[in-house]
Amino acid sequence: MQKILNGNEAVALALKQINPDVFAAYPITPSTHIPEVFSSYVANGLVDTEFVPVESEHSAMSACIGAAASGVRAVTATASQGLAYMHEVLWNASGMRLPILLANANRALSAPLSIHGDHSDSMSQRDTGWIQLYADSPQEAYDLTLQAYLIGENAKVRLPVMVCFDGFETSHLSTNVEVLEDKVAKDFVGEVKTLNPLLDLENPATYGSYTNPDWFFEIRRSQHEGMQNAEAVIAKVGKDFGKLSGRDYSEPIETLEIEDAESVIVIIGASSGSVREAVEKLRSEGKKVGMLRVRSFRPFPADAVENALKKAKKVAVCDKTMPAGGVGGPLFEETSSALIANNLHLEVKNFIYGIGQRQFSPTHAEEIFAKLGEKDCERINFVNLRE
Amino acid sequence: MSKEKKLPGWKDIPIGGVILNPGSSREYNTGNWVRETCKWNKESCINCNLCWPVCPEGAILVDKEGNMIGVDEAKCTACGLCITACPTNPKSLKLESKKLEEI
Repeated sequence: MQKILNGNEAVALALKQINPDVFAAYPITPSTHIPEVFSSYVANGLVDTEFVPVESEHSAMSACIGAAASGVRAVTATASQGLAYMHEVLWNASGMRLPILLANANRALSAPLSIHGDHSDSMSQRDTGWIQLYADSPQEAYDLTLQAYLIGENAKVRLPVMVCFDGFETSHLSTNVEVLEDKVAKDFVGEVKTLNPLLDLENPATYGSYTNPDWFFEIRRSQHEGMQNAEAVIAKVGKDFGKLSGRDYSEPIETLEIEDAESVIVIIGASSGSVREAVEKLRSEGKKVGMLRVRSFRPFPADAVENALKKAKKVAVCDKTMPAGGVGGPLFEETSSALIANNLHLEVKNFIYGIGQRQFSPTHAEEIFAKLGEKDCERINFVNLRE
Repeated sequence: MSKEKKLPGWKDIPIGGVILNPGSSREYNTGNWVRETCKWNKESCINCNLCWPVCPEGAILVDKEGNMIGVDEAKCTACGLCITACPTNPKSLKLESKKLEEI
């Protein structure tokens, strides 16, 4: 069944079909539609969800943590400053291994103030122990939202999941979205799978206790294991979803024309659409170019990325956040590390694009392919920036 | 180090460090990260028990008759409150460095 939905509406519809127990949110641009549309579902009695209009994002995540620890499904939606304000409690959610769902419409962080999209908000949270899946479209935002609880609640994973999609470019892009029938979606997502819920009064549990150096390390090591296990679970859930919908998510990456590509652009999110057009055009001119889009950033699919790039000669990794003094942006660093860890030494350059939602068109993707391998191509390059 | 070997490995700890046995805080060794501990001098101690209620960790060991019998070094965080409370001269409790192998 097709519906015309923007990314936010698609996520809200997926959440309606999931019918979570608690939705705590403090609306923020560009994710505002999600709590707005969802609260209309609540008001009209279409879901059983307890909607908690909290006083801040810090409280939104805290309410989700309390709800999830009690043994129910909790969700929030946010972006930018809101996600930054949640930062402290994001660690609690992952540390207590609570499979909360967070829909994040990627937006730049102040200052200067910008309501527009880039990846600096969620990339700032990459080490908080949350699974991070990046959608490229309203369709993927819908699909990944339906898969999130099945990944996070898996007994081998038990981690919160962040579904990220580009602010405005996906959140406000109205397009055809293929949606599942309510019952089909509900049956796929199923009932909540709990572990030591606080409301099981016969079996009391203490969450978030104090630890000395003799316990903390082991508990963190277990968390790392959950993240590593997530790679296989994401593939399994993605495959099952594919059987149901015809849209397969068993791979943590998406590739285009990569088999014999000499130059490859590595990218995350909606701007892959521009790269796709550039690749198709350049291929029609006989140029051996390809694209690799990373969908799962945490856990980072190091082997899949290395495997996809091993025949390439030149790689342009595109980051939609500033490197802030790093060797490169976060995707550049992950990709480079994945290659080095697998003893693959390629020419890898970093291209910073779309900061504060600066235009990134197929022409700009073509410019990247052209610049890759030129003498003036630096380690970090800036796309569509005024000199 | 010898004490740590008895603790479970990371695969055997409940996910998220959740504690499943309620009322078990007594089992937690609060002081095993501290480099010092309180040593008790039985000779000068007058068994007044003033140290017992001020200890935040319950590290002052007392027998069933209420006689002080020592300090639980695994619980003692070397905060020194018991020393302040001790009325004897010289003090019957004093801070000492642990031996390296005890840490």
